[in-house]
Amino acid sequence: MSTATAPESLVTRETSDEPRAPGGETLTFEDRWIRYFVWASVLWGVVGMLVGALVALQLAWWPANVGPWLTFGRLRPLHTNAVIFAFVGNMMFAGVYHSSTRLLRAKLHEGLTAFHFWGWQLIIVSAALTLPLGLTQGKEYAELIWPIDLAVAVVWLTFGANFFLLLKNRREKHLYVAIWFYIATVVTITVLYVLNNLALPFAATGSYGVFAGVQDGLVQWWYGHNAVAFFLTTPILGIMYYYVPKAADRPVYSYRLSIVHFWSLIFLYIWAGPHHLLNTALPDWAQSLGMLFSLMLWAPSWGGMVNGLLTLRGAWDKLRTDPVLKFFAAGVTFYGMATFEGPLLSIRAVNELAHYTDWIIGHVHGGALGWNGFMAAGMFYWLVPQLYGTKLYSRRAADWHFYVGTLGIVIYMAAMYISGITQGLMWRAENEGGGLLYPTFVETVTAILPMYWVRLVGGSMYLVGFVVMAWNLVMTARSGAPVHVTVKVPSPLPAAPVPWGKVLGSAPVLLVILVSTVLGASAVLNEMAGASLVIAALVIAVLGGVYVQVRRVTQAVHHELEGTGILFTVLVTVSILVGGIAELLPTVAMGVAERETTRQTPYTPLELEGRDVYVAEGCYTCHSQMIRPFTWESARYGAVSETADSIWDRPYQWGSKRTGPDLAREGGRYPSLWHYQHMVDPRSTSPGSIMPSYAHLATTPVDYERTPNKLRTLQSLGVPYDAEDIDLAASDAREQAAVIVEDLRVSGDVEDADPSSELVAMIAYLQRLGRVESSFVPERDREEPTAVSEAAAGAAAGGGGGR
Amino acid sequence: MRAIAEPFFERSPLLLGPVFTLLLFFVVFLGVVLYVLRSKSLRFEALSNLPLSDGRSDSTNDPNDASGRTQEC
Repeated sequence: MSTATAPESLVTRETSDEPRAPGGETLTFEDRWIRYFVWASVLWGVVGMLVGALVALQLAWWPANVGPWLTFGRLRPLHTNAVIFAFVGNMMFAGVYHSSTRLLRAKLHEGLTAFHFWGWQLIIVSAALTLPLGLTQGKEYAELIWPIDLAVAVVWLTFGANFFLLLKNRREKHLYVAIWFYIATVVTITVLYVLNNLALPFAATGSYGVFAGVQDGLVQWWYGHNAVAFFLTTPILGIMYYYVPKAADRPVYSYRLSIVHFWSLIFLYIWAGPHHLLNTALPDWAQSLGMLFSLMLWAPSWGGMVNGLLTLRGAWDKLRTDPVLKFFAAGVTFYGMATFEGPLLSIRAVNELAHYTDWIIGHVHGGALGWNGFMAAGMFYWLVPQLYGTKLYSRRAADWHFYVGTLGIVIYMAAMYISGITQGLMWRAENEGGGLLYPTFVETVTAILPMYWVRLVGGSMYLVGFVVMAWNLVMTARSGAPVHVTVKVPSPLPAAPVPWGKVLGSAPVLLVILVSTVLGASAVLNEMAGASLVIAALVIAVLGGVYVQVRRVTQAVHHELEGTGILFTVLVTVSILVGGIAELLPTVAMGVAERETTRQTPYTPLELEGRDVYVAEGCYTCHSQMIRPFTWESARYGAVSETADSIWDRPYQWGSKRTGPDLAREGGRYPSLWHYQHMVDPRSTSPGSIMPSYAHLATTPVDYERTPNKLRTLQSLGVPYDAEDIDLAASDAREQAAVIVEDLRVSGDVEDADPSSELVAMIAYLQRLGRVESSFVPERDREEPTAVSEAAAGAAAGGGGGR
Repeated sequence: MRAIAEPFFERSPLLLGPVFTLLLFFVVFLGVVLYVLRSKSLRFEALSNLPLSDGRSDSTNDPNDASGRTQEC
């Protein structure tokens, strides 16, 4: 056995002003699982970024799409999931567990932590296997299939239980600001993940979501945006509030600012999801709310950034020599840049140009590589020497990592900004006659290909720096040995009884009851009477709040709140639920009404099968299905999209990026033969296209025996299929497939098209897009033995220019 | 006011929710700002020092994992 001198200061400072029981005890932290989480994060970080480099190469050089399992559409979700949930997830768990045990002075539950660690790694491995196989829910950052979702829920709740056990067993009464951010993370991710993944399974590996169309889109981006907020931001802010003071050896710049930062951030963030759906068919009021709350986010985000950076006041000279502080300072700066750019992109006029382009990719990588990646590096460079009782193996290598990483990010982001703005401008450029200057979409892709190579260079530089960090950390661990840390803790105080009478009769509680009563009355009264009462309630709330404050009754409220974990958690939950419910409920209610009156008929069985192939192949990663209300969009793609167009879509496929053209009104635009040839060899119909070949679809069969169960599941979710539709689903699908195959044979001498192939199903789906009803009617439903008029169906799809 | 409100709430009375919640945010925000401005600095100073005083008293290498390894740099 050997001992090592810990580099951390051993001086104990009494900080809390709470009474403590006499005497004291000691706690010994083994930190085994924290070490495991650190190594898992480093390993998955390398894997996730390697996949990122591969998908970047695929965009620059399409032959890099090798085989059906390794196409861009299947690998891009693997890249995002690996980086978010595997790299940042494991890093977050390491940081949360390490800092929480120190701040709360309590030990982790061994069994729960072990289950959490191995469960999370098993989920990551499952994702790495299923996503390349095309098993996906088809929603960004929520691609994992339902059995894995269930596992995520169980493991996440285990993490939550473990964390709240720490709170329960803590020996430090006050909850430091980092703990607040962790509480918000645990609570909010639970709510988001469960709601967004509500689904009805039709098979062991497939399901249809509860929400459809615009409702699904809103819930998805409520989740997607807040996954960024509460998975990639709040826990990392907690880590910032703990590790930056530790590394700089000075307290956080302003504790007051941290209180305002926390409550403003968690209340505002939850509303901002609709800014991902600006200028779409989402109701205007929801778009306006999303934009407004995004703009308000500027203030708390920059408050947090300033608080983090100014914590280094008086220690700026250390930036020259300390790689940990270098990474933290740069990470927090990138946070400031990303949170400035986010609200900027939420302004409708800016979003008009930026949405669906690489500008967004540049923006998210500024946050992911700069904020998450550099904060992780700073934490690892500080933490690993602590965990192994030694010093960092090579400061020079860490410095090199910092500079090559920073340069890599700058190159990456610059390439994406140039690419995004170029493409956005080309999409809208008009010629002298008022038509599209670049009518062929592929022109706007080939123009930005050089930037895709530059992006690959920047990303690869960042990856090389990360690998150097991994080597440095391994060498650091090898130069030391795992340490046990013993800390002094005060003896627990006996719990004081809660004076419930006094609490319930207090001014704040009475004020809330009064305001709620007036608001309740407003709900049962009509028009102006109700509105007047709402205004009265708000006036009472404001004046009452000011009165209570003036009397200083609330002087110690937050102070007390910080000592009461359960109440604090409840308030955080209310704060995040209020925004979510207020935003989602009206949209969901409107959707229920719209489904009663829509003319849009559900997909035929073959179109549904084709749609599932479209989702499995990840087509949404490159193609949108949302024509925005701009002349240049209508000129290129057809009539502006409406909510009814996607009313039966589970999942919705509006997309978030256009590497290929929009497909919302693809039906009837080209003959089936064109689609067949395009899918087998995209460059045969679209010279210069970077789309991978999907020739494998021509030989992959659809299992029609499962089709009735799919329709039955959708019927349970409210899609108007009748019993006959379900019973005859397989034969209807075969009949429609035979019509398409005959068309291919007649129009293009394609003799070998397999009617049971996924490619034929995909063609059926593509030909349906943008139409109110299918062009196919089964023979049993025909009054006369003729097909439904193509012209009538085409007219419903609206006009459109060339591409 | 009525001219603005009526067409807005015609779509759904549930739209009162977002409007009310927006105002609720401003009330809570003002309350939090007032609170932090009026609170005593000393209390915050003590709390902000919590990360710097994790009560560490000793650290030893893990006999099971260390395999007798010592610091090398």
